[in-house]
Amino acid sequence: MTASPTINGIAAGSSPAERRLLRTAAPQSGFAPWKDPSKQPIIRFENVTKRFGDFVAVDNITLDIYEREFFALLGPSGCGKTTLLRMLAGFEKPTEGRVIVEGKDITDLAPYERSNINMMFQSYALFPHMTVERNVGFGLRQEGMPEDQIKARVNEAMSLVELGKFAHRKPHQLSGGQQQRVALARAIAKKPKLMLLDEPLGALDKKLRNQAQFELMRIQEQTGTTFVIVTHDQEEAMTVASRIAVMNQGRLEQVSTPGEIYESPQSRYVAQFIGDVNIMEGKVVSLPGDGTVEITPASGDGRIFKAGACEGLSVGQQVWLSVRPEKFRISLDPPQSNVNVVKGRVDDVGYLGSISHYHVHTEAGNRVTALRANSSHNVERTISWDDTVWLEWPAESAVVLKA
Amino acid sequence: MNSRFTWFNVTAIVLGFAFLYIPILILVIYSFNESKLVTVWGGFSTKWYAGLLENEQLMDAAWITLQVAFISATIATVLGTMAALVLVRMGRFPGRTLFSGMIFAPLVMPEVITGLSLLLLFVAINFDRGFWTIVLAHATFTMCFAAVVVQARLTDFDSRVEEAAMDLGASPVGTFFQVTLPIIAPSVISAWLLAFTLSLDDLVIASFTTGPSATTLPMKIYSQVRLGVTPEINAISTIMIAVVTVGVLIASYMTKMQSARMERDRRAADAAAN
Repeated sequence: MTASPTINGIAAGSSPAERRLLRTAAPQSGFAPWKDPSKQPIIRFENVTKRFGDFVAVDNITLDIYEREFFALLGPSGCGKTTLLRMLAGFEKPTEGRVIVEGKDITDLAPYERSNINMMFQSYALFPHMTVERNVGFGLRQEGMPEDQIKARVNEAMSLVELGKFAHRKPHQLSGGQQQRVALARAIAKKPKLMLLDEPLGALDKKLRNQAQFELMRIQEQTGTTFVIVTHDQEEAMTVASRIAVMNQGRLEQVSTPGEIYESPQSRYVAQFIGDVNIMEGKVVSLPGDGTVEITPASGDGRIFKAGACEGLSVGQQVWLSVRPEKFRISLDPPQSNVNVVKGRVDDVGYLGSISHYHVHTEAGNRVTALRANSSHNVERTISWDDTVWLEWPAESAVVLKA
Repeated sequence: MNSRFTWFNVTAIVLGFAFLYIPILILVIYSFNESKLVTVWGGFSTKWYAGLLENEQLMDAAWITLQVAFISATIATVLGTMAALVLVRMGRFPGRTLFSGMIFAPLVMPEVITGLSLLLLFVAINFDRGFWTIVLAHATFTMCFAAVVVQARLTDFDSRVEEAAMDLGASPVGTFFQVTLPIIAPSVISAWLLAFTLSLDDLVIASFTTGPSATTLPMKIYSQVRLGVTPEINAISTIMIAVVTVGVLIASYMTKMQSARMERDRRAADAAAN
């Protein structure tokens, strides 16, 4: 994790939207091994495909994950993220392709032959007939480690998850949050190089989940283990991960840092999956060559949208412009410029204290959402239902999407 | 509450229980009969129970029956558990329907047919009939009952627990003995008890497969009854009823206590967490 403790401290009590902004604003430390061509990945999926009968769960995925990363596989259920994780653990065998961990081809190894990989299960899968202590020590006992060493390692793992006083309880005597920690301690006790987490916090309520996310980050940092987490919760992925792979129907849509995923999504799917977004359809009219692109909206009323160009655009191509709600400047007076402006009528206002949501029906017939911070300087006339408003945004905050 | 005690409900209960228990009740009462005549009440006595201990033939038969039941129930439980594991775990494989059908067919197979076919088999392979042929025959016919009991438990068994064990380095065999077996142990014990009781009171299959050296208790009782019912028979039957009743009561009490304790613990843990 790259965020400093201060940032964590503030973020813990803030809303998810603020947390995202904080993270984006946080200075990037040097941890970006995926940008360093000399680094060898700890995990490499090479053209991995998994079919169950006719159903393609994982479709020709090639992916590198680096040491000490907290890597999130994010997507809706059935997108193949769990299958990908289970191939790392050894519970599923790829139909095609290879899985390489620490330079070794482990495609055909059974789960119990992968001693450097441990998994934390979605439903925790604790052994109901064993005490917490026996559960945590189970993996070490399989290695034939002497009992006194097992005891030391078990204590270490249990103090890491702050579970010491429950050592002699059985799993059914623990609450959900405590069970989740036992599952974590059990997987971490063997000090694996690679820790797999399958929806680890899915069964916790929201408040507990937020706490647990930061605890996972702390443990990942303290142990220096590479974590791969599967989740369908975009906020969770944004919070914990160093990089996120957004998956859709067995394919990787985008693999980037949380900030890049949010600020520069590569497809409408990713833009809509992470946070709120306004998507406007249009056509490329010109490429001035200064790194920008000019687009006319599909409604064709002669207005021009300007945005930073992405690679491989050509004049006449159909594209989509994505603008986050907080990037709009909403005003009651027409702005000076005619570029990157849409006119509309306010349909709905949602007042949330620090911010307000405006649902605007544009002239072109779209519904877009704009956010405005209710800062004390806002002494101008308040915007209300049925007001005619102009939405303006800076060219650099709009993203052009080709798909 | 009172509205439930309609004349119809009461009649149904009385009739049902009367059908089930009057024959047994009469048997138990007459085991304490002073008179030698089974149908004439001659006052209370426990002399037939004392007499049992001196009846060596009956005692021998009881001992053989217990041995047969113990060994055959053990074999049946091992084989039945293995069959249940295959049926639940292997998913779909060619011939699965046939295999499961064939395991459960003996449940409804007439005992006479099972007994006869086993007899023919033992004769064909020239196996000396006696103690061990009864054991094998009983293991064969109680195995499917054991498989049904264990399979019911395995169906709602969370297979992720086994995956977790393997993920932590346990081999498939290690996983079975350290995780699966301890968790399904209550149903394996029930399966064993069921097989044991079935073997204990089987007459038909034992009669087909026995030799001159081995006579089980049901066979002994049956042959004595043909010569006339004595209060001794009533006495030993009463003992068998008592043993089975106590066993069933203990088993159900234990199950009930265990689930109640788990429920209480879970509530306590949730309360502590909140």
